[in-house]
Amino acid sequence: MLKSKFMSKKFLFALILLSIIGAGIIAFIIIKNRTLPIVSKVADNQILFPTLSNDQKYIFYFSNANEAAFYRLELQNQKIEKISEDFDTPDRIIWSPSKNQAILQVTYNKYIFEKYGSPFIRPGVDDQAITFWLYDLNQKKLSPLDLNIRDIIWSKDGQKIVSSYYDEELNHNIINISDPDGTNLENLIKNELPIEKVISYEPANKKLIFGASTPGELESRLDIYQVIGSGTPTLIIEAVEPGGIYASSNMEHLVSIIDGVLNISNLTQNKTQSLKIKTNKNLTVWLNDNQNLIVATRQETTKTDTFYKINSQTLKKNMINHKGTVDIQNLILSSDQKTLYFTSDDILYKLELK
Amino acid sequence: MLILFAFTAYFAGFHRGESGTGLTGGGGTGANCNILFPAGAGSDQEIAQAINQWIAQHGPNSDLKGKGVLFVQSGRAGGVNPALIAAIARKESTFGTQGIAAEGTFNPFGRKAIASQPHKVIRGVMWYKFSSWDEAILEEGPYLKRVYLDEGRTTLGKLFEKYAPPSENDTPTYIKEVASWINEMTALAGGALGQGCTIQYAQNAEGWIWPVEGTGPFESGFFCFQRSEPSPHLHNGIDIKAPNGTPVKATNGGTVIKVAQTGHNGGNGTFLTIDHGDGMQSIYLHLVVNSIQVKVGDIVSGGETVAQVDSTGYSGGPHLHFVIKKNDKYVDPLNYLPFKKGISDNPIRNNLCDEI
Repeated sequence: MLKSKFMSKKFLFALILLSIIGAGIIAFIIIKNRTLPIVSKVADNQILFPTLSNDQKYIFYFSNANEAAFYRLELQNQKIEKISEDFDTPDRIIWSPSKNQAILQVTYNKYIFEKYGSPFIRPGVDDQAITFWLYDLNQKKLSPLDLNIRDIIWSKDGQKIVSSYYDEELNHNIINISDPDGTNLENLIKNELPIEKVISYEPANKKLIFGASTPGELESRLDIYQVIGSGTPTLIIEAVEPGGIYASSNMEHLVSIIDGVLNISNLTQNKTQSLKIKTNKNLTVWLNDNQNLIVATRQETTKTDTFYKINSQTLKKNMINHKGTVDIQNLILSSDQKTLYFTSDDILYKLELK
Repeated sequence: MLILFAFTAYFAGFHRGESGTGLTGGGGTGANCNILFPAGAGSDQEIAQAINQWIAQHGPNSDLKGKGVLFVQSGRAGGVNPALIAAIARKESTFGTQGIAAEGTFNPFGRKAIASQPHKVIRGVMWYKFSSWDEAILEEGPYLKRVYLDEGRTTLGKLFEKYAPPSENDTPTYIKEVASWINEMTALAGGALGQGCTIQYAQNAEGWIWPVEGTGPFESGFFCFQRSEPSPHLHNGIDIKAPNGTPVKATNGGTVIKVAQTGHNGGNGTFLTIDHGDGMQSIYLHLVVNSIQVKVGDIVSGGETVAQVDSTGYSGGPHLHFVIKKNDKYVDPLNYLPFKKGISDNPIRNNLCDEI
């Protein structure tokens, strides 16, 4: 009898203890989840190639859900306005820093363009050739760019376009700078390096970063070079993946993928360090301080993208845990650096950062 | 019961035979396809998944992504292979992203209209206007049945004689593209879509031929093939030394799928790729700028001159870098090309990789 009483007291004590531990765990989970940033949908409609207006009020984007054209989404009231005529959907849109102009990359589909009377028709262009176009959203004017262009970016000041092409007569690769319509063309570099990608150009100090393919055929990686003015290009990083290369605004750091791992390079010290994050994807936005960056990464085995905030000086990385599964295509940071916008499956979401 | 079974089997066999008599044209090239719904081959879900995967690969910016189930429903309703419907959507509008589909018609199939039908006039032509992508997809299967299959056009050739007539299109190329796309979806479906299309090319009687005869002794780097992969510096084919301007011949019959007339192209220089069907492709690198005499979609016969030897891209001298791929993997071309004594039988051939 005594033994039974003792046992029941012991049992009761254990039960109470377990209840307290259980309640603690539940409370911890609730609190933890409460503090997790929530991925929230901004709009229900299809949004391709978005950018945030400089006044932070609108998302400019392209959509082909109905009439394929540029649209403007007012973030405060979700009002959508069509702001261009109809186009065939481009493969890529490179927004000017002012957001008033956009470069469209279009694969020439001879059959469709010529049968249906596309605005992208260019007589004599080969089927499947890559073409570039400038679209001015204020003037609603579409202008063809040089057919030889292989890659193109906006200069840091947004006043010029910087483009690369291959001169077969000279057997040289060339990077030029010009006004957005192609006029006032000036040569920045001309050499035998197999230039594939223009990464960044700062007109103030004439600093240029570009990628050239590594020796090898059909399976290319890029070697990254830096050049200032008319100097000789310096090799700064070897054999990076062609996608996911982002330089900071001051062009002192660059993030890229090397052998399936995220790396960060200090371009002034010519030093590259592994961030020890395995990934086959890199979408990066640099913060205004030019030191911190937010990246979206993905390992093949995971079903959602992972965000990290990384300090390029200390290499300290913090995972930004969030609720929701995402497969990010575009990454945009608001100017106050509090909101991260992104598209996943062509739908626009936002993540409020702490 | 047995009699009924035998009759059904005979009738089904007859239909398969009829649908297999595809158009033959374009230098002896043709495609034999089952364009009818592949009854009993696999589940609707498996087929829908394959179509979804294919659209996502080739139309990443399309609003038709994820609508595989509707393609299957449409195909089932019209008794048409849903892969054919998806292939037409790619050919006519890149899955609704281009052409008149991009102008508010929700018409990814390039269907014209008459005045009594819902329509939109674009640049003087009256195009069918659907109320949504879903409606357009669901309507296409029954439409193909009503207007083409019921008229006896149960082969790709007969269908496209009317759907994409020679007066408007290069019909053999159209057929070849659609047939190869049906095959891509069929492969993704892993048997759920039946057997797909058999595409015939004008093959060489003796099979593969050397694209250039080449010069120079074996020891000086007539060819090399390096098996060590993966490697960014993989030499994934053979180098055949030949003077500038030497004609390059198609190694076998096929369809030209890629042409780069100019540019460095990652070291490849001017190059072209020919698809020989059955997962086989040949690639020809370092050619003379603008020397490629064929364009994408052209059907070439084995032995036909397609370009000229040069040294464009990463190259130390005139030669042809020749690659054969099988099911997207590099294979040793010497295993396909006619035997050459001293080369094909050289035991150290895979270790030689001279700096050409």
